[in-house]
Amino acid sequence: MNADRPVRPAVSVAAPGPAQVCVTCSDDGQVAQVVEVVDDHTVRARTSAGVQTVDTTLLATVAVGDRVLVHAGTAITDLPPDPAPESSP
Amino acid sequence: MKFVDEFRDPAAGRAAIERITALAAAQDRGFKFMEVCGGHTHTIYRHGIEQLLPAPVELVHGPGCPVCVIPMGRVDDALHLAAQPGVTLTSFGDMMRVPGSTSTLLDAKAGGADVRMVYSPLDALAVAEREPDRHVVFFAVGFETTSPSTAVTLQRARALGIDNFSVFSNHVRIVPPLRAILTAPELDLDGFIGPGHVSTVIGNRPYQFIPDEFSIPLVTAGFEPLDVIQAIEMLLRQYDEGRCRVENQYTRVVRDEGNLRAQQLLEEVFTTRDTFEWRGLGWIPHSGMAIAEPYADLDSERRFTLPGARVEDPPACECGPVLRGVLKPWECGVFGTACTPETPIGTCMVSSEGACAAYYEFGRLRVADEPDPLPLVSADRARR
Repeated sequence: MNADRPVRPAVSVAAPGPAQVCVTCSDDGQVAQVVEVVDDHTVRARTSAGVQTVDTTLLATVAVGDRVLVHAGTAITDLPPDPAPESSP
Repeated sequence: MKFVDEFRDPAAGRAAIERITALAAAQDRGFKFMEVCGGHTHTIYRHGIEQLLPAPVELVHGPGCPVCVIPMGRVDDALHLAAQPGVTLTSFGDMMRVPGSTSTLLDAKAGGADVRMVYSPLDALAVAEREPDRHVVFFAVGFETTSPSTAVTLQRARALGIDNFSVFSNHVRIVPPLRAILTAPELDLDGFIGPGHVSTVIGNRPYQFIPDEFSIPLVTAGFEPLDVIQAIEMLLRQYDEGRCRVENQYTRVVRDEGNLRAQQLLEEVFTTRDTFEWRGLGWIPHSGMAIAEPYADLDSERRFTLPGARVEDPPACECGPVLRGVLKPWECGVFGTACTPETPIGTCMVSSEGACAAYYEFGRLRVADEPDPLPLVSADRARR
């Protein structure tokens, strides 16, 4: 893709589909509480949707009971110990 | 429930709105604040925050929905990848419904292409590991909330020696479009509600140019309704007290320095493109993230020849002005009629974080004695 290429018009653009909240539109964040440390970069963590595998490569340390903010399967920050269920949205 | 109840407390909300009303009245002028993040857009519509604010305070919706800003040409490139023999294309759910110039990834799947929805790029890598006879492409979109996960995945693919996997990177940075918006002549903004979760990665310091060069404040905010309302109050209080700076409302999550490990990994795995096309905003210098040279063999754009065509938005679609904050969703000619979440014409109607979808879902539900902001949609449809 570059800026010098000619622009062509679009034709039909309808995408039938169910009305739904986004499954993940990549900016959905979920708070998760670690229930098991699997290895040095993987934990099992409980979210509002159940227990799932979360990558923790980007965190310095992680232990059972810690709360983390997860985007796209990866914890991007740790959270204070209170059970704060922030999510976006 | 802690951190929900107190951030949705109606009494606290009313008190904050009263303070906002007083602060705005004391300035005797109008204020136009842009929320950057699609999550904030969703919160604002879902909780009716626009209707609670006094008339002088206007919210405009920015380009922070990552699905919404992907130009149609990039979707066409993904469709091209999905059509290649032996390729499995993986994508987040919402991207499956975003229209390209002729079809969507869902259409391609229905037509026989191997297109699969994943929740994480790590899931896509797992598919590649399980199915070594397929080449698995991950259609990567998103801001600095999601690019760290892609970076972790590329690092993992390298460590595991998986070579039947590549990433079609459409990751973007949040700061360059903010500068582009500030230099556009049509918007006269008085402040930003800064993105909460992007800031957990990049921190608050990259926003410092906004008060320094453009003399307007930014307040990073969380996603509960009182987070957003408090951020608006903090913006107005800066005007009241003669300050102009970057402030952090979301201190319970965001640190000023961000996540240094994530920043370091992003530097290692990605490189900044000279320019990248954004739907509605055009070409923005240094806003796109391509895969860096050490990971070139995992870059779909180098492993495949892509059409790389630029595609004009459909004439009826006004996502561009909506994404620039100069048009409200309901002012678009096809909003709620030809363009609905079931049959989206534009990207803003696809994702729940898109301003049009959020307004369609929540903004139409107003009390009967208020003026109808959406005359094109019948009352029956509005009550669905």
